Amino acid sequence: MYWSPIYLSVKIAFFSTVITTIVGTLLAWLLARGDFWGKDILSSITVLPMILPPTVLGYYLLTFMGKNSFIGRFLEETFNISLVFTWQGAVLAAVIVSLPLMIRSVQSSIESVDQNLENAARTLGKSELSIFLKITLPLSWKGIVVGIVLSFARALGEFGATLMIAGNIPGKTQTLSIAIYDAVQGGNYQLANFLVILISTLSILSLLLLNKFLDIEKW
Amino acid sequence: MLKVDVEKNFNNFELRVKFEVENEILVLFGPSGSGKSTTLKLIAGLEEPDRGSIVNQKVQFFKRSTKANLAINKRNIGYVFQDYSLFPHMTVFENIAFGIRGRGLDKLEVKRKVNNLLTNLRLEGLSNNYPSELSGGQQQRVAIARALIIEPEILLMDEPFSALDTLVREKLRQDLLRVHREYQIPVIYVTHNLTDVFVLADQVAVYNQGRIEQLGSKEEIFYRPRTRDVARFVESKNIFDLVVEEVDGKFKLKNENLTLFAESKKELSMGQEVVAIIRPEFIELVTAEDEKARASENLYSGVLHKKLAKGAITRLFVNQFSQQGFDILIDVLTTRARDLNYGSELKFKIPPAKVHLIV
Repeated sequence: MYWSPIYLSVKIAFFSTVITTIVGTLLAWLLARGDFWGKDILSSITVLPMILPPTVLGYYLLTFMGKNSFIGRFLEETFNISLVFTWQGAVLAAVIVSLPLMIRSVQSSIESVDQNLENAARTLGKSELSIFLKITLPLSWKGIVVGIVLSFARALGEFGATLMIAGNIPGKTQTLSIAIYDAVQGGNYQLANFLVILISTLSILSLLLLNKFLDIEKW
Repeated sequence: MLKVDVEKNFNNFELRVKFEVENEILVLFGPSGSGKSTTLKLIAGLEEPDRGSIVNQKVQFFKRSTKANLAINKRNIGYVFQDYSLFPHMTVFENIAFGIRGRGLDKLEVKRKVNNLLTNLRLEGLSNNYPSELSGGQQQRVAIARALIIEPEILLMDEPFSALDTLVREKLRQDLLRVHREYQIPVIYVTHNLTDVFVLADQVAVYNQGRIEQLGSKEEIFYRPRTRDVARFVESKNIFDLVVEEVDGKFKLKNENLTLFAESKKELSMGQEVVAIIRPEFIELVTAEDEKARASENLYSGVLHKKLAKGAITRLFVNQFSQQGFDILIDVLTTRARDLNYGSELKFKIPPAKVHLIV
């Protein structure tokens, strides 16, 4: 009982971070280097989850991904995946709330890569994909690492949107944050203290590790 | 042959240039902001012209009328940037090899090509170093090697040596001349350094405010500038506005400070305004002994008030028209200049045949 929410939270945060890293890096690249119609709109939308209350985000997810929605039905019928009251739903919620952190971090990193380096690679006959993989990405690794750590932490602590879409089912969707809330509500301070100390220690450790890592000058 | 005929408009600047380059070094020379670097970017495809066309050999790089616009990575151009732009996360070897990676060459072949360039550009022993561990001159040589490995059809160089000190510059110029002899491709070299022009150029395009003001050999640019600005850019120094007084054999030119005789094949008429240009190295100091033996025309005197040593030669500032504070600049051998004291009176002569006239 003690470990189930911890395991669940880590699992959700892991999958969420993997998705966030891939999607977020691509979006960050598009926003930093792309030149297309609607870029400003896309840029605004990607910040939105930082501004909207988590419950509102959760409500949107319920509305657009729920069993009665077009997407929800499609997922259910095609892949047999339901997002409501499942851990996959919690992953989706975590992705949505952590994407802005990932995008901001990677975008500013990519923007600080000297465009002449990319131009040099272009004149050497390289494709845009190859330039992204060989030049831009390796040179913005710090932003990506920061993004991963922030996204993981954000996913681990996610509460509002997760509660809305995945609910509070012990052993199935009851994550760490929700378990703490539940424990306090039920007067189970022993459990609450344990979980709070655990998550605080983990957070501090990961920040220390991150700082150590970012100090490395590779070249 | 590369043929360029393009226009590019910016907010308050318009570039309109036309030129052709054979397998020679064309130096784009002129003040900063005159459109030299933009020209390179248009050729490379880093910027798109608003009008015109760019053709290399028979390959259309760009043509407005047919909407042809070859992608940068298909133009096979070597580009050397002012700030080197080496990939900081790659070693010297990886930087140079980058252009031929993924082209289906086996490892040994890549290694052989890179090693050739390492030797050619005096970079042996540095292949495992990162760019941040190299001097500026070494970095720029890596940049040249990196550009050459793809066997480019054109080499574009944007003020490549401007951040380097004089000695390193001189060595790199020699490297470039050697590389050019070997590769036999058109090189377009942007600079605002006159020595670069003198050492490197087969052809010079003098840029001014988005136009090529003069295109020609360096002799033409230096000794027969077509406009006052070109004369100024190539440091002709002695530039005078005069009016034609006599057209009898030699031209007699005059303003309130100066009477000057000039020989020229140009057709001039009485009262016409001209610009007379005399390079400082063409003015001869006249000593007391040989004074009488010389023709009396264009013989002047003035007070020496400043000396500027420039190595083997020294530039003298002689105040010929004291009331205007107007100087004539004369270049003499430094060994000669040593004996000349400030405040002393100098006699000098301007050979009429060395006066270049702009009508």
